[in-house]
Amino acid sequence: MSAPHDAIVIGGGIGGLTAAAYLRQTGASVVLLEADEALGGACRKAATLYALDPRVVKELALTRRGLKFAQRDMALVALRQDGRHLVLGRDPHEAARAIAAHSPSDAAAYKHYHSEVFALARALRPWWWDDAPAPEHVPTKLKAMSAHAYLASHFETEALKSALAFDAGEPLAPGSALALVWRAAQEMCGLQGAVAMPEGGGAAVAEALIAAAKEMGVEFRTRARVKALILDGNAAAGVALDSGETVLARVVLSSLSRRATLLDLAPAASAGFAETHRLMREAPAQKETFVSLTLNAAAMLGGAQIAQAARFVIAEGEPMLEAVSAAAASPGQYNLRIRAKGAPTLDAVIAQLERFTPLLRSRIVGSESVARDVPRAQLLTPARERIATPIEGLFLCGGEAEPVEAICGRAGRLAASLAMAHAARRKTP
Amino acid sequence: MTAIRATPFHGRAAASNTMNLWQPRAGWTLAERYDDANEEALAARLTCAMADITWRSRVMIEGARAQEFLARLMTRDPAALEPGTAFKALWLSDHGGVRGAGLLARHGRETFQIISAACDLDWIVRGAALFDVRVREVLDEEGMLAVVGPYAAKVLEAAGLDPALEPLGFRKLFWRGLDVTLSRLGEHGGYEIACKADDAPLVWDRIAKAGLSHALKPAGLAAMDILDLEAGVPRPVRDYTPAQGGFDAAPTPFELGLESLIDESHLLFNGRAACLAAPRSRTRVGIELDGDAPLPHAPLTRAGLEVGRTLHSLYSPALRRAIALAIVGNGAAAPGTLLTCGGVSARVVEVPFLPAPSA
Repeated sequence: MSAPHDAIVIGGGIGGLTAAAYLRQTGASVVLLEADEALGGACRKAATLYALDPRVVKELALTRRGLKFAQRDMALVALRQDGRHLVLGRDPHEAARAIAAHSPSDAAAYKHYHSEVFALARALRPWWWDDAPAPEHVPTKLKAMSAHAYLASHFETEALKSALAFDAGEPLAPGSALALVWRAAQEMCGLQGAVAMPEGGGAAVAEALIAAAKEMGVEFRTRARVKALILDGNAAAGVALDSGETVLARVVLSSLSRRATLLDLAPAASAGFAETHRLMREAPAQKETFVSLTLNAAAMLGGAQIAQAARFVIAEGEPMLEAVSAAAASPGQYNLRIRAKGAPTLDAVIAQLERFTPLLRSRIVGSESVARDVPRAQLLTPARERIATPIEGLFLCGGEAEPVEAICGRAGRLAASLAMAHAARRKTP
Repeated sequence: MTAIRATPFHGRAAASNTMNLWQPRAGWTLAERYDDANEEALAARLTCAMADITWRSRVMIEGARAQEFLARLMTRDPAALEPGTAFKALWLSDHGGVRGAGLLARHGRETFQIISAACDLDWIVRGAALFDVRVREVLDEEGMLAVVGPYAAKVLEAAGLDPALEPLGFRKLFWRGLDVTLSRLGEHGGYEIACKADDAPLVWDRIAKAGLSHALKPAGLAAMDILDLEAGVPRPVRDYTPAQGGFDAAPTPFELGLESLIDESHLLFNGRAACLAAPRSRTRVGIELDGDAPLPHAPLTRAGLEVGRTLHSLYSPALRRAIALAIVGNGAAAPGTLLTCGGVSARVVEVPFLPAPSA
């Protein structure tokens, strides 16, 4: 049995790393337990960032610790089979001109849509960014509307609708219209609703966070899979590892999902009978697949006329995917990073891309494909309810504690402050 | 729709039910009264009465982790419960609403029984599934007869049953060829005899015969309800609607006056945090009225302002006036507080209204 720590963080993904760093910053002794050999988790697979909290970047000095951006604001290019690709950049007027080639009425609607979504995003930002009270003016319509229906109420061009819907996660799910607003409420490199690409992809964020946490004095333990949560009454008291070892602390932050944390780690029914059954009935998570292709020649997605500082969305046919060109490890090689919806085979992804870049298959020298679960969005759940659990001293800090799962760090930051407030309350009864 | 069942005592009850008045309860049909409900209730206080209480929900909980499950379910820890004894307890929803109240009896190391006035089988079954614990509802296979009153012990003795038993205790007995369980789990200080369905008429006959010299009367549901209310214990369904959803926060144990059934040192039970944090601005009191028994949810006023509402109410033949349970604000809960109920004057009194019959 090891010496008790102030806090345990389960999982070394973006959420866990952020939470550990913030907890350590308040003076708590923190041990981070990662089941894998490497830290960083799924965040290493992503090529682009669209939701990393600028406060995390600033407060944990991630830029000083090596986070550099190769692209700060990538345009969205909707690839179309007929070659009339749609380029949507930051400037709504320019985007409207591009849309006008397809539909003049959509071009007019786009400006209106853009300003509506961005204005709503500014109003809802505190709700998603902080532990803030519920916003008063969320249009009731949006709460229940799907992104698909919301876009259909603005636009007529299928290509435009499906390209914009790609960012909504599950565009057909009720309430997913707010996911579009959530995307617009994010800020990358000081730009609202931007998509940026760090040098080295998502792994660079992980490295910078690991460096920050290490420097601050977070204790890391890899290959330490947590088997069970140890409770004292209804309060967290520590965790038991697969190795049989126990690690004790009165505050436990889990970057696993609520379901995995409360059903698999916590003792039976300790979340409450009704809550346990709600979690058991929960619909399975959506899947997404990260594919990385190493090519021996540049892939000219959408032809040579489009600058490569863009993300290419293929929303026609299956699988729907987003592709960006990233820097390759060795000279003469090119890297294509793809995020596809669902769990398509590598072959299906390549076939879909080949419709726009003939001969792609012959240029592939290496490939990697990883599918993972994407938790459902909880856009209307208050931060406290996403982070706190029925077990005292147990908090969630991972992707599922975010309104929309993303490389964000906000849940980790918020969970750390809620956990420390809890610890302070417990000390002064 | 499920059929209404007849209890194992039905044949005997029908023979005694001169008024042929029946009432459905919890899926069973039972004699509402055999003759006069008030006389039956008085018999239970002054001499002796027997009543068919097979309608009570009896649920067996069995399995290696039964104690662990019940510790999570109940507001008190069953670890300290000895086999052959029982305690009163509540079970709460996740957010601290009262889902049920009743008795937890320990039959063996891994065998328990929950006895309550209202069944909450779904909740118990779904909870037990998380602990691999078996749950079985006791239905037609077992009859249960209550013997209440100052002469209850004497009647049992005359019938050849040894009445020496502590309150909240129970014992399996071999009674002149019958396997029965004798218990003292009721609120009225009497005894209960649980027997196999086939033996039920015999048990009825033996008690009725032994009771002849003690003026024993069979008591119907109406008389037992009078005793229940005089005991001042709120009953689920009759007095309050238990929490139906898993996340309901009402009714709280405090407004029902059931907080004594919560052991705060028991750290595990479902709904604990929410229930201890619940507001305690209202409480359950007893009310004596100078007029007729009011309908449920009748407003209680003081100086023209509503201070609470009644729950169940009825005429108590022993007190010779209408009594009611009520939930009132803490400011109006002191015994002696004068209130008005529908133009009739009412007083807050201590509960129980009357001590248990055989005390």
